[in-house]
Amino acid sequence: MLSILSKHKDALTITLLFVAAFFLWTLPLQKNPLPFGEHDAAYIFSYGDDMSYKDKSYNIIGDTPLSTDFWYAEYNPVLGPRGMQYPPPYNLGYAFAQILGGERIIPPYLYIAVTSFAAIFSLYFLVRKLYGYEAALISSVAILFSHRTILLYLWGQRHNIASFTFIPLGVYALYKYLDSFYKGKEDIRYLYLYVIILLCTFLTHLGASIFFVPFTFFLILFFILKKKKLPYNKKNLLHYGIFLIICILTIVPFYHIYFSANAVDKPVFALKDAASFLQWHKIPENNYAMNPLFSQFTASYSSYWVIPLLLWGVFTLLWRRNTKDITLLAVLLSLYVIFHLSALGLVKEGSYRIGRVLIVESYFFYTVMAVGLVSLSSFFVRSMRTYARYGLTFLFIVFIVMTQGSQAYASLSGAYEGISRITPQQYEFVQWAEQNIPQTSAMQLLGTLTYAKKGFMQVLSRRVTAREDNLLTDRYIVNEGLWKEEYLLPDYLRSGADFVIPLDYVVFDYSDLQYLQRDPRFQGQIAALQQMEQSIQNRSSLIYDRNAIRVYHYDS
Amino acid sequence: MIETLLGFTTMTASNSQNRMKDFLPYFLLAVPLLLSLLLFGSAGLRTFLGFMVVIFIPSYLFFGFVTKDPLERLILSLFIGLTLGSLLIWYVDRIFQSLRLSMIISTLLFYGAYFGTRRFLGARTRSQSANE
Repeated sequence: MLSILSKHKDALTITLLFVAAFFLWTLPLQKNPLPFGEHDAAYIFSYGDDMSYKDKSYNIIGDTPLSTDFWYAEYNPVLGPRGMQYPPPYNLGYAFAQILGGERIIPPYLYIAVTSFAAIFSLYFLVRKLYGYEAALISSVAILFSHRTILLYLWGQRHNIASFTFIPLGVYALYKYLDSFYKGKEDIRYLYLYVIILLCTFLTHLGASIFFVPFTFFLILFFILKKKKLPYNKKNLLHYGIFLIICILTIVPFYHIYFSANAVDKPVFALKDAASFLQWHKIPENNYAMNPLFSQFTASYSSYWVIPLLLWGVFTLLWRRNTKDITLLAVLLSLYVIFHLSALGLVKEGSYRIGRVLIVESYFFYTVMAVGLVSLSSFFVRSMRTYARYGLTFLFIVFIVMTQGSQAYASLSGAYEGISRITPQQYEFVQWAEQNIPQTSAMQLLGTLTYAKKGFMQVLSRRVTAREDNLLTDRYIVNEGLWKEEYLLPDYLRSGADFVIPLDYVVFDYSDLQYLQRDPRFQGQIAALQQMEQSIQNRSSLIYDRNAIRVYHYDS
Repeated sequence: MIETLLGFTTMTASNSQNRMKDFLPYFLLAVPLLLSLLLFGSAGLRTFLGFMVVIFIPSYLFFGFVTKDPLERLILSLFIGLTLGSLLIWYVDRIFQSLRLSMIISTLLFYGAYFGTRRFLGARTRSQSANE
């Protein structure tokens, strides 16, 4: 029995990690089967939801959900308001989940959960191959409870997280190739795998691809310094040519999605904050436009006392400097460079894109701690080293479970409770709206508790929705001067050179506020909503009145 | 995996214990299916089963040509298969303009390509052995 367990300990460990992760990360869904997240989550959900609804995947332009027409209309001047904002694969997963699972909400959210916690397995794989079972177990259990990843998963930057999960695989592939090259048994398959993994990150979210720029440079440099030889083989020219063709074929169709967007930072190289280079990572004043808990050290690593363990791990890597260690050092140096891109003027200071890379820091800080911890066993007498390794591993995992684990459970089990996410009454309303509000009209949604919920109602109703909190007097939603002939847009959205849609419906949603009517903080909001409703009653018709949600259609 | 599952059905009592060790990973594969069924009912089970059949199993089969290391094969096929498999379905959908139909066609293509490649490589190996 023990021999079976030993032979299959990787399979058993991965299975147990999956069981734990699946149970934990789907807690928000187990308690409430309705969608959760901030407005980005709603936007990303809309793509896959719309593709399965239309039974058609998107062209690069012209196909994105009409509910999102005016959401980021000016985002990409080349592709236009209905241009894809992400390459297809990740969003297609939502559509596949709905089609295969047969439901609209639960299956894609299962897909989201799995692709968000998948780093547990890619990191386990990398660390297992480089440093053995115990280090792999420590790092993967730590990432199972990764505070930063859980926060971004709950909020909704899920494709970004999914792309980061490829990073350990890319690290492994390039390491294996260079290691095989310098051992005289070059294995070109790993270079192919590296290129493919790079392209997978490009196809999911560019944020992870950026990591590989400094990483490739530093790892090759470290190998050159160690082995005193360039990793170049004339016989591989044909392979290099194939790589180029694969990259061109993959990147070119989706080039404009990333590189024509207005939100791309235009780098201007300039030394802006030299003092920040003395810090591993200087958190900007705006906390990367995120909740400060995201970047807070103790929230992600439990306590400052892990810093000596982290430093011991770094010392161990620097002391040994074997090929595995220099790989991990290259990762750390790459992260350092990314965290200081704003100090070099290459990205905007406080850019949330840099902030999200803190997730990757968690992967490799825990890996370095694991390496350091396992190396401590070498201080024991030879006969005790194995037990020391097991004991230290066990103790650290217990520590992680009791600190990060309990925090993760609390975050996930209490996420988006009650009216902080869309309610059954609101879900019933959006289904009515989809059937009864024409696609050529927009509605304004008033009274719903949060901007994020409004986003989900917009997406689930498949209708353009104005989400301002005050009653709009203009009967049209307009993006001036946005219309271009090359955009694939229906004529009903055009008025001269403007991108417009008539605002014919207004929704007064009291369903959240009815639970808060005794709270004095919301008295003013309820009164204001009632006043707005009274102001339009003489020029509109009531067409829906259910569950404290009322819809009026403006008279022509 | 399909071949080993077929082999499993023909195992005899005398070699069942040895066979059991080899089949443990595949029994463990049932765990995610059971868990998704337990927590999310038929929607959960269908989701996992669907992804396995459409994307993960073909990807896993193909990665058998790339590596013999079981852990490499499992992890790389899961990650790369999900992204490239989705991309291939997208390209097929450019032609057929029906996502459901494209998924079916792509799935058949994936399995067909695997068995075709295996047959081709098998024939090439036999031919090389005959020449030697």
